[in-house]
Amino acid sequence: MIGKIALVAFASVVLLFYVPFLALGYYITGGGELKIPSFSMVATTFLLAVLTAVVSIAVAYPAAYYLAKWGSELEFALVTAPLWVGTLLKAYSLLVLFAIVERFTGVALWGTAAGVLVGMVYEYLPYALLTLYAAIEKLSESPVNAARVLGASRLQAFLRVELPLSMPGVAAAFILVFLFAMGEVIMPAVLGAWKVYTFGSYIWDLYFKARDIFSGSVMSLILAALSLLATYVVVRTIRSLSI
Amino acid sequence: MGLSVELRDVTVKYGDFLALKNINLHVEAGEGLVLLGPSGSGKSTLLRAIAGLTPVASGKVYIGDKDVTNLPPDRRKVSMLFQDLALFPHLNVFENVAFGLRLRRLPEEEVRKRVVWALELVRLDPAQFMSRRIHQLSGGQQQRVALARALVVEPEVLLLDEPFSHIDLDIKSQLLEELKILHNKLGFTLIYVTHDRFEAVEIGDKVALMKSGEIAQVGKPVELYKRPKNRFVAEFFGEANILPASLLGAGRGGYAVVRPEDVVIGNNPTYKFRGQVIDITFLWHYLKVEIQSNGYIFKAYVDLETPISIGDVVEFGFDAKDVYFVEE
Repeated sequence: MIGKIALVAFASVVLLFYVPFLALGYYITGGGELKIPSFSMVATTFLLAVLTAVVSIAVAYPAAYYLAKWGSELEFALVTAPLWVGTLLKAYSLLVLFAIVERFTGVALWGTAAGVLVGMVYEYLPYALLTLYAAIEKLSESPVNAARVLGASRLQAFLRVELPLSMPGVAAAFILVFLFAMGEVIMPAVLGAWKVYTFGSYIWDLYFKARDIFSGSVMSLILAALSLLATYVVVRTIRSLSI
Repeated sequence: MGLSVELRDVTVKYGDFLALKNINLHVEAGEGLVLLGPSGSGKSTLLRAIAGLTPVASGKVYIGDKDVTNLPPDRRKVSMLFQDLALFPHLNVFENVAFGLRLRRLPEEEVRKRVVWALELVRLDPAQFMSRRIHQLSGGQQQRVALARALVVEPEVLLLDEPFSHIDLDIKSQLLEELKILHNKLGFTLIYVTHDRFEAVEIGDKVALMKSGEIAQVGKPVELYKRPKNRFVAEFFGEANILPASLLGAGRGGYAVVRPEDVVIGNNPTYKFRGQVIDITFLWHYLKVEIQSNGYIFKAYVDLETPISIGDVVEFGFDAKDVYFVEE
């Protein structure tokens, strides 16, 4: 009984995910001339997404570790609060910050890949943090104690035991942030000032500037397929590495 | 050859709660000591304080002649077996056992040699088990891996925190037997925590019985059994009949402790009672008979073939030499 309910639930989720793509198929059947994206644009998108995921995890891990071990409810609320703020609002507030930074240091972030990266990390950090928190919080204390008694310093115990045991959480955070970042439109548009051109921006332009619905639909499908493929590879790799 | 362990006035606090109160304890080098007590008595905390996993609020911990009170666990030359085993699920059997050796930066060849030695010590075939994953092992096998991991670093002191509490009785006695042999063979000092008095006497030369963060009594099992310091020790360490001393007309306060095997039916003992048999249980080596008399229920262990049945009214009692008086 439970098995059947679970199967129905799983099937409907999968179905719901693919329905929009069926709609895209409707446009694709209309035909037209396909505008292939440049390789450098695909590479930029991919690199930005990977970097966003890596930097988010690198920044979020220590914070998640702190929260999981010693954090209070207030601290937890403080780090999750940014989720309440809309992406566009975050982007424009960063624009102001970038202007201030430029005024005082002379470093221009607006319209650069670095600026877009800062924006995307800012946007997705809470997701990475929550995912990592969940993974670290459920780690048992006793393997660490066992490592300590066997001669491991606090740092060695972390590197050899806790970190490997939290790898499933790292993988989950990576996939989550990477997928979000692959389809990102707002941050490259606002912070990259259309100079940092990503796959998301390209699809946006195809639909809303070129009004080329055929190419836009095909590109959306390609982006989704690429993301799914990348996710599959990451999941396989992590599975083979850890427990 | 093992190092002695000594605690002087050790106090451990969890917040406002006093988990250990001024503990003084000395364990000889190479000795086997069992920390026995009900749950919450502080026995695991005491073990963790020796390992350095729980900070002490006051007092000193010595291992050998060295004051280790402020040393972290990795510098105390102790090894520990945990209640939940705490094996590393991301490593295979070989790497689990090799963990402590790798930290000591031993050459690969030496690591391999010593892992094989340790696995053979705990009677796991290295060729068969070395590359297994932890979750592919049975409970008893995991137990053996944990023991090999603790022994491979040749600890001076081995601490065990109820390591065999989750496994079948048969495997448990077998592992206890093997642990005892290893203890004699390798000569490390052994401190074993348990709440089970049967386990306690199988492994320990000496038993420290704990209650509410204090040591109620330390000594050889026979001392705790025959000469308990108080009612708690008498009751926890073996079955006992505990009666107000006044009931025996002893002319003193406190309590009289009489072990059930010293209670005889008939046979004209010093102290005589008369009562009705209310229960009889077959316990392999003897019958346990419960007799109601004077508002107390007396327990007696009698010969298996004793002609007795529930409802019988019997004369019973015990001799003066078998009575031990305690104050509280």
